[in-house]
Amino acid sequence: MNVLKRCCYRSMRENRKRTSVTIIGIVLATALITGVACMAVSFRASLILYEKLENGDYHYGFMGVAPENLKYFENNEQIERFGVVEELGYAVLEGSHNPDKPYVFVCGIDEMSQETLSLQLVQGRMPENDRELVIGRHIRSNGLVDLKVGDELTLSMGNRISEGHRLTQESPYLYEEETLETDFERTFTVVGIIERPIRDVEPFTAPGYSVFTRMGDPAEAGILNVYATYTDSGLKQREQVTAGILGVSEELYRRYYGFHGGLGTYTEQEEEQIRHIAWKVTENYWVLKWELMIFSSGAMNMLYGMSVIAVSIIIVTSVFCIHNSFVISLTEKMKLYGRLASVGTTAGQQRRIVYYEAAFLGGIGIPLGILSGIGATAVLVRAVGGLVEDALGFSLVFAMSFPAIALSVVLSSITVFFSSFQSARKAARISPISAIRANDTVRIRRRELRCPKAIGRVFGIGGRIAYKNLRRARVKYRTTVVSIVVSVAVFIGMSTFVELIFDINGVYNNDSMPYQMQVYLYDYESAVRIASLDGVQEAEIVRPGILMVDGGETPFTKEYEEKHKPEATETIQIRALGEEAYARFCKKVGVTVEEARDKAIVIADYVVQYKIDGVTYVDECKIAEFHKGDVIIGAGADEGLEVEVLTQTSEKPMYLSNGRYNKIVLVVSNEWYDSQNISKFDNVEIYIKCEDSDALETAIRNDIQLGDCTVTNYDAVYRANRSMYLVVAIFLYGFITVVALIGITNIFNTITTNMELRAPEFAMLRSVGMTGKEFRRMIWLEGMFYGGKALIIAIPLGVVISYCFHMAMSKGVVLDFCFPFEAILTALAAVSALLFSIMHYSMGKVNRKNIIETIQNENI
Amino acid sequence: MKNYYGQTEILRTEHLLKRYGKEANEIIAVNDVSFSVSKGEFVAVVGSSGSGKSTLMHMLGGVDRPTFGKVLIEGNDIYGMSDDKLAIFRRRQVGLVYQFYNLIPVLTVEENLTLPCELDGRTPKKEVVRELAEMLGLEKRLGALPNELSGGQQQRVAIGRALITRPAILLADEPTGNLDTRSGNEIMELMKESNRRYKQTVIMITHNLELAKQADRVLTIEDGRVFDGQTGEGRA
Repeated sequence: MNVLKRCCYRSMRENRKRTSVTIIGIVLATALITGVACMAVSFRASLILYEKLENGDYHYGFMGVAPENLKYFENNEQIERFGVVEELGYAVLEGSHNPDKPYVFVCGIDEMSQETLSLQLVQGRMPENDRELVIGRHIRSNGLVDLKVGDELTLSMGNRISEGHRLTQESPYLYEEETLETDFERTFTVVGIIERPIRDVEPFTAPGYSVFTRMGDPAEAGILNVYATYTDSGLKQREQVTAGILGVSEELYRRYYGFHGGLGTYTEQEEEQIRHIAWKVTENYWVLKWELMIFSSGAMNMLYGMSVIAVSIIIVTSVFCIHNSFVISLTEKMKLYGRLASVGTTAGQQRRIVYYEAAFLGGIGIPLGILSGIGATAVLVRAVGGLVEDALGFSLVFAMSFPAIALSVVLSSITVFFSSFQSARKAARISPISAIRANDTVRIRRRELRCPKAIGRVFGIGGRIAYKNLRRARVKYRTTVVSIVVSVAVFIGMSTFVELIFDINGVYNNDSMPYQMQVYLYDYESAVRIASLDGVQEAEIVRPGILMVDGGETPFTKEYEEKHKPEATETIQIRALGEEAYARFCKKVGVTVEEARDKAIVIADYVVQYKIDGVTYVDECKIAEFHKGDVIIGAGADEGLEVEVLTQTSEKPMYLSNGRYNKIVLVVSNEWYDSQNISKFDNVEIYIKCEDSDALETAIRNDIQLGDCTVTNYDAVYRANRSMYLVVAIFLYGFITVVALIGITNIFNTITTNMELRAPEFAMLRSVGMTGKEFRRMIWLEGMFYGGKALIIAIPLGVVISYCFHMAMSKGVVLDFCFPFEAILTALAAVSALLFSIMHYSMGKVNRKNIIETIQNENI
Repeated sequence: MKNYYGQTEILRTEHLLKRYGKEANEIIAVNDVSFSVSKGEFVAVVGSSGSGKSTLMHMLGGVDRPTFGKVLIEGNDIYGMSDDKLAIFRRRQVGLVYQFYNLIPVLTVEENLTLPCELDGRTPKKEVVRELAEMLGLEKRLGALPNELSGGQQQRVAIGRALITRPAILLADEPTGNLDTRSGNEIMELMKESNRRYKQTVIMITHNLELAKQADRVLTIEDGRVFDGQTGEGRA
């Protein structure tokens, strides 16, 4: 180590505190960059995993391959592995309740196929011979056929034929237009139940439930489907490899399958040629997309775009903060550099010392940062994995990649380099004379030292010195001020952002939501059955209908007429609520079921919210005023339908209590609804209040007696949204925390170093008789001056950022701008506490020093 | 290069001028100074506080650019050089000793001594360092850090550092100014010794007339102008 490096190394060791704070800054910045990179890599890995589970773990599927052509796969270096599936044929599924799926589709699979097709065993085991079968779970849930492990099943298998053509799983069931021509019969034992197979094997519209048996010798099989996973090098030239297997040119392959703007035009001869080995090739689009990252995709662009933005913010913040450390280091070493210069160091040598320091600090900080970044990401992935699964439907797995780590190292090194760059240039310019006189650090202009008289009057000499010092060392304090501004403004903005997403979530779903589940179905009996399931606390079976009445006869309120100018014909909504709910509603309104039986309870409220230029308006009025005994006459399916009004209420049934309404509603009994010929709709909606909506959802979905229904589990939706926002919030807060930490290291560095550099000045002040109290006041004032200055800038800036978030996010949702008081107060308290503790710390250090020693030390 | 008296001239200044500030605030610290120093000469520059001694010294040492005029060391116009060349020239040809020592606090005595050589990429021979340390009386303190030394010892390290490269010229700015009488006398002896032993040219700035009397020649500086002798009886 040469003398300059030694010099630099020792001075870093001397100033352990500043050196470690700088290293902490570098560690934080590197950890953040690594964290973002690891997070992006983990997301990608998780998505690949998810897509493989959803779509199969293969790259290309070759349909209709003859057994003798398997050799093209077996001896192919570019293929890592492949699974073979034999289509044995269709057989009628006895008892299938799904009219679009009357068959099972029997496939023979080889050993590899469980993996390539991502068959997920739920119960039992995979088949080991051609007499054993695994069946999809949806045979029970969707086809309502009660098949269990151990059941025997005799299937007559064959092909679906329509107009002389063999139909595949891709052709939906053709009612009365297709026939099943069976060739052979085999008895199977069900040995396992699997999740519904991937879409490529069983599309949603497929007419047969896929079941799998073990394939015999492929050589003796009929037509095969091959699912191949390529090697890395194979993937790079995947089109060439695929074309090679098909025995055609890459150009024809692209043209035939219409890739890369290929026109998809070809001659019959070419078609025959390309369909010789496999009549169709499918690519596992999403797996390829995530593995190769080649396709343009909104989601991926967003993911990488966000990473780029995050990394840019980190780099800018870090460069700013770490740069500050180097500036401080330089200020501190001005004398050292000057002395070295007086002995004859060249500019290059001085510059190299700074770079050496940067390399040394980076050499420690970057590896530590990489490790902590990886560690933190691993912990974070574990912590939020469950939330992500709730929110996005796939579990988050931790992954890291060498290129991502290498990129982090490069980016961190660039950060450190840029941080030291300016200091290095400055160091090179230090002349011996300026350093010896130390007149470069403090360049004072007369006008800067004018102090408002008020400060002197209020705060005394200490206040004046504090103020002048602030003016004098503006550049140094600018770093502190900017650090505080950045941290505080970003914090205020971010907290509004998080609050907003929770608010939006709350608008759609909140804890006071009157029902947790909504089910749409088409028959009243099923609805009653659902309402009687275990776990249902309250259910409202809403059957809708309408009645057209003469607008002129309707007793509209004046306000409504003026505002909304009703049309000549008014549509009145009629709702039957089911017996129990109707009884509950009657009780709520204060009438008995008996007296209400043939009459209608009227709800005629108008509540609509809308928003113009960020301001929410609520339009609220009564639509009409009905009285007991009024008779409403209107037309449904029949003309001249009459209903007597029992009462008008502002109470709402469960289904209305969460919504907005702008029509007259007549709540009627089941008997009236059933007996009258109003215009009725087919659908029935059930609104359910329950404790455990997940259990209820499972119960509904597994109830094979129920017909087709659509279940909306608001609890789950709410949970998913909340998890999503929680994940976003955790990331954002994590991000802002680390950015703030970098800021804090920065502020700590600036203030403590400045205090130490000014130690002789303080010693001098005390030597001429400044009391401890005055001294403390002076230091606090300094803290207040720049803390105050920073907050004066940061708070409005934060509010502006908040408002921008508000404008961007509240589109389509009615939300009022909420002034971020809490965040401001938090920031205020945090900044005060921070400044207090740092000032306290450095003041303690200065106070401990002996006055004369401090002054004399200057001369060493 | 020989001067008028046939002696080898080592340093010459021509119309050296240093001006600080502008207009009303203008201060001329060194005003049209021309003199010459011969090889092996021990010259003392005396003057009161604020007379321009240190400014002159800094300009002679190549650390402060004159507003006007030239400084020639061994015939080289040092301010005609680039900054880097000047830095290298300074570490090889000029030894600087300051009132406040200016040692590198994180380097040991030995490292401070050998610093100029190491900056040049050379490692001085052990004997040279030992001989120098003996002359300085620091042979037992080579591993110490500057703040573990007394003021006199620190100044001796500074002188040793200035002498290690055997510079053409040793410039000392109030080398005893911060020391007690005994230490001051020791430093003076040391400089005389190096002047004798190595034929070292020494220019020492001091306001101590007693010390100045021990020099071969005394220059007086007053209001930025230099005169030969102690009382200013003629231009140098």
